[in-house]
Amino acid sequence: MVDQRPVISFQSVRRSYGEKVIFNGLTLDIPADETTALVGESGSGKSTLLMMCNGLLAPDSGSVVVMGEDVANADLVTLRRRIGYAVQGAGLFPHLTAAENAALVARLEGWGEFEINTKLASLFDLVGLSAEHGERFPYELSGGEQQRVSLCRALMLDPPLMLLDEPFSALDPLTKTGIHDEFLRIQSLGQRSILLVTHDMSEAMKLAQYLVILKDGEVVQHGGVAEIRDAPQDEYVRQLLGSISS
Amino acid sequence: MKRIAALLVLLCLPVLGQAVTVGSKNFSESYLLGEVVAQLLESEGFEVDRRFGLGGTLVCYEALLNHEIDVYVEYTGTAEQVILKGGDLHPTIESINARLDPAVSMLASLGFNNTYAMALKASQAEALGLSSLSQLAEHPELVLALSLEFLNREDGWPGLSAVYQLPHEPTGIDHGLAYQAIVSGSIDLTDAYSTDGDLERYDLQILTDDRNYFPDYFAAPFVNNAMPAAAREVVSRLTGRLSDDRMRQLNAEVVISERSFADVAAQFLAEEGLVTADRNTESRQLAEMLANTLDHLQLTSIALLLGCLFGLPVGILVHRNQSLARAVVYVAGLLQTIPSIALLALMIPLFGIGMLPAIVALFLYSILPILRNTITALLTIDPVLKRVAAAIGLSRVQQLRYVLLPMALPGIMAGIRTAAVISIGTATLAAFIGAGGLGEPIVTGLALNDTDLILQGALPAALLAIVVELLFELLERKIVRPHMTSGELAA
Repeated sequence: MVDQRPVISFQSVRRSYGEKVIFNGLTLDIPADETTALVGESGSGKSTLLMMCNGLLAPDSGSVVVMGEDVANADLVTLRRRIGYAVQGAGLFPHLTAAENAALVARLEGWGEFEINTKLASLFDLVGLSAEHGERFPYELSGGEQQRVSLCRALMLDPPLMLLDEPFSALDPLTKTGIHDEFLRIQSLGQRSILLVTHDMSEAMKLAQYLVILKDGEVVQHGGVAEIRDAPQDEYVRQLLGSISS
Repeated sequence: MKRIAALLVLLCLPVLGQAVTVGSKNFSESYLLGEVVAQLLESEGFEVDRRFGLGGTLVCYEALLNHEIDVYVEYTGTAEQVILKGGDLHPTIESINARLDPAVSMLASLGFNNTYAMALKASQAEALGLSSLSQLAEHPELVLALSLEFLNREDGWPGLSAVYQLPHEPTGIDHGLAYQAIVSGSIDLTDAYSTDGDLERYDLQILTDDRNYFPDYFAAPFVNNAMPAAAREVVSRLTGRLSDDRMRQLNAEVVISERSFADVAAQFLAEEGLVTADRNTESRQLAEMLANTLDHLQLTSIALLLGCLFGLPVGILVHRNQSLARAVVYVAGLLQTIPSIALLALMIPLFGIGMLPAIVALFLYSILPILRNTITALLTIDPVLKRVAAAIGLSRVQQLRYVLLPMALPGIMAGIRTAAVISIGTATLAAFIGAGGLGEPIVTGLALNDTDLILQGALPAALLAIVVELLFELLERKIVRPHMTSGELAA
């Protein structure tokens, strides 16, 4: 599967914040139709990398090609509607109910009421929410429920690619385990490319098929989960793997 | 929202029907004469719009010239020196009319000559043996405080001190306060009008003008020639009806007996047989208060509407650019630092008098709270939510429409609410430039030192501010979901 065309391709990407260089000529392919976990500690540049995939940040030089399209030349609104997006803390809009949050873009796409309700019902069911949750405002939902709604929002338009920026990091362990199961169910829906940013190696091993280990803006190692587990190439990767068993 | 817009439009509609606008300056006699002219016109079926308490001769004249008022009572000497810049101390009305702008003319005199005089306590005059202005030079120890207009106008203090070689260095004082200052002993002399009712009230004596310095100040209706001929005929019925004594007596009725202008004017017109019907002044007072309140609402709501139409889009446009936003707020803040009375005065050369300049000034004041709150409310939205709004595929306009503005709404509403309350307060000052509203009784009350009258404007204004505040709260409750204002935002 890895040998087919990558869903995201970073080509000689340079990016800095003021004086600080984050990426100095990064070249990396993210495989299509599977879940890739981008693992690294905070400050490793993993969120920056994610934000360059949907044009929230632009590289200083080099290019980012997403689903065959150079992000720099793409119509961002159109591109972003083909990319599901979820962040740590869910990022739900406080003035909208859960259902309104999830359906906002579908409504703007001109979906009818019936279409929206059908889709919402199936998505809510998928992530273990009831219809009643849809009527609530974000502040009336628990952290786990909010994050489930945010996954529904990301899945609403059935995008071929999803970008998930530490969506499960702020959740307590029990909730996290539950929502991991839902995530695996989402994967089983069909072939979809997912780029998941996380600092939690065990989460990465559990949810992803492909790993990219990032440290200080450099890719330390990338490859299939089994390949990395069996042959860590670096002391840092060994450390990360060691943190799981302990 | 639509219903509110419709209400605002309604408030903006001018009063329908033919009307004669009567003006007055901001001192007691001028109000009284304004009321006499107004009631006489009303008794003949004209609809009268009162623009009383205009701040000074040039404001009145400017208003008359621009036909913002049809008529007010002016004095021959004032017309000669202040308006025509002439030097004739005893001008005839014919000679004044010959030199006036053809758009305006002065009708025949009402009869009395209200010239300037210097007044002091009768007891003090007697003690010092002081009876004429030429003797005043021998008493440099006496403290003089003069009204600002008298202090500065050519036919006032500068000429007087030269002719009588007076060594005093007078300070300025509000004319309404000067007599009380004399009674309390903090000053000795002030300028007075020879028909001033207060002269009797405070037992003041006038010094004889023994070098015949003060010019004639015969009172006469000053009209714009565009005023309907029928109205002009009605006004000219007042010719010669008022002697010096009669005028002083009527003035005293107001200042000593504390009767309203409307009351005294009605009595005078009835006694002269000019008006027969006995008017119910009580209900008129209430109607006037209502009319003032409506004027006030109209004034503030138009200004507020303009403030929103300007402040909201500008705030939305500049909020993305931090330094531009800061610059814009800074400029709006500068406007706010101009004292309101000065800002109103600055509007006169640009927009004349009346509602327009007042609305412009109030509009300028409303910008800052609206603009600053809009910008702050948009800037302080959680950056993660802004990022998400873009990332899920909303266009810039959609981000504003569906995410940023709804989230900023409570802050924006608070800004509009502040602007509304500031407007209602500041609009009371707009009466100084003839904009009407609840400031009118306040300005009149200040001129008369009449607390009751001041309260007639101040209380409804305060009430209006409270009501508007409550209405905004209701509106907010209607259009903002409750948890958006309680601070219980989602994580």
